[in-house]
Amino acid sequence: MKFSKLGVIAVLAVVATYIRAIFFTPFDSLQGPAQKILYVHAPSAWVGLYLAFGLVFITSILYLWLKDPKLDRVASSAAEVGFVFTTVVLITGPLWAKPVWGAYWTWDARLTLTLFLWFIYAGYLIMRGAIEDFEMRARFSAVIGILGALLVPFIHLSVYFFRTMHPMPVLLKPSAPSMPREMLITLVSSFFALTLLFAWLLRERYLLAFERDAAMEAHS
Amino acid sequence: MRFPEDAYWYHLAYIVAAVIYGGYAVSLWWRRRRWQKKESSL
Repeated sequence: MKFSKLGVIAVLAVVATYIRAIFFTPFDSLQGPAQKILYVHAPSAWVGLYLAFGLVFITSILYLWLKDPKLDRVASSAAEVGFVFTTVVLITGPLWAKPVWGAYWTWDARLTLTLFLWFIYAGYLIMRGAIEDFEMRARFSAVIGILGALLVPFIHLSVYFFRTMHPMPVLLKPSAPSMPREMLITLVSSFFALTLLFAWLLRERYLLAFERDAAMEAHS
Repeated sequence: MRFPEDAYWYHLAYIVAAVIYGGYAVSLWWRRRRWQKKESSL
């Protein structure tokens, strides 16, 4: 497996961050070791929901306007990578909830909406595999991608709008972060490291899409 | 109220995340390699 410079930097950043999280970050006095799940759950949500699906939203709108195949490739790549990050969110969340809440899952607004968003993008990816015509596939994908991404602000605000068991945001909120400094450094590092990982995976996924499209065009 | 002291849950969460992210990176490499092989054989 050949690594690009970005891949090497991303992997090193992820390894360094999680060594810090595991060995050099103190346990939370209330939640105990389970609180460390935050360092993988929250940054995965940041990347999956905000960066990846945000990028799907912007590039899909631009695709419908400009009809540039590059924009469809970026949107579909971001959707697939965002789907992977959201899968991690939906697995690590219940692994935190079990020791802290006593149950893996509750049907509260944030959890249910996030699961719904995951199904929308699962449908997006399945639909892309089922349509052969490039223009029709790109147009349908853009519409589903935009509609799916519209859920993200509701998911973010769901903890304010509804009575929910999900904790309030620690970083992504108007006021100052509510966390001791040592934990905050680890959390910010994990956001940075997983953002780099996203950039690398997105680049690799885009290259795959580019090579496929170029070959299809050459054969047609 | 204090929660369980053992690190089982966060170890499990980190392992699951590593497997998913690592598995996805490998799948991208594998799909690209398979595609390139297919193209070169045509």
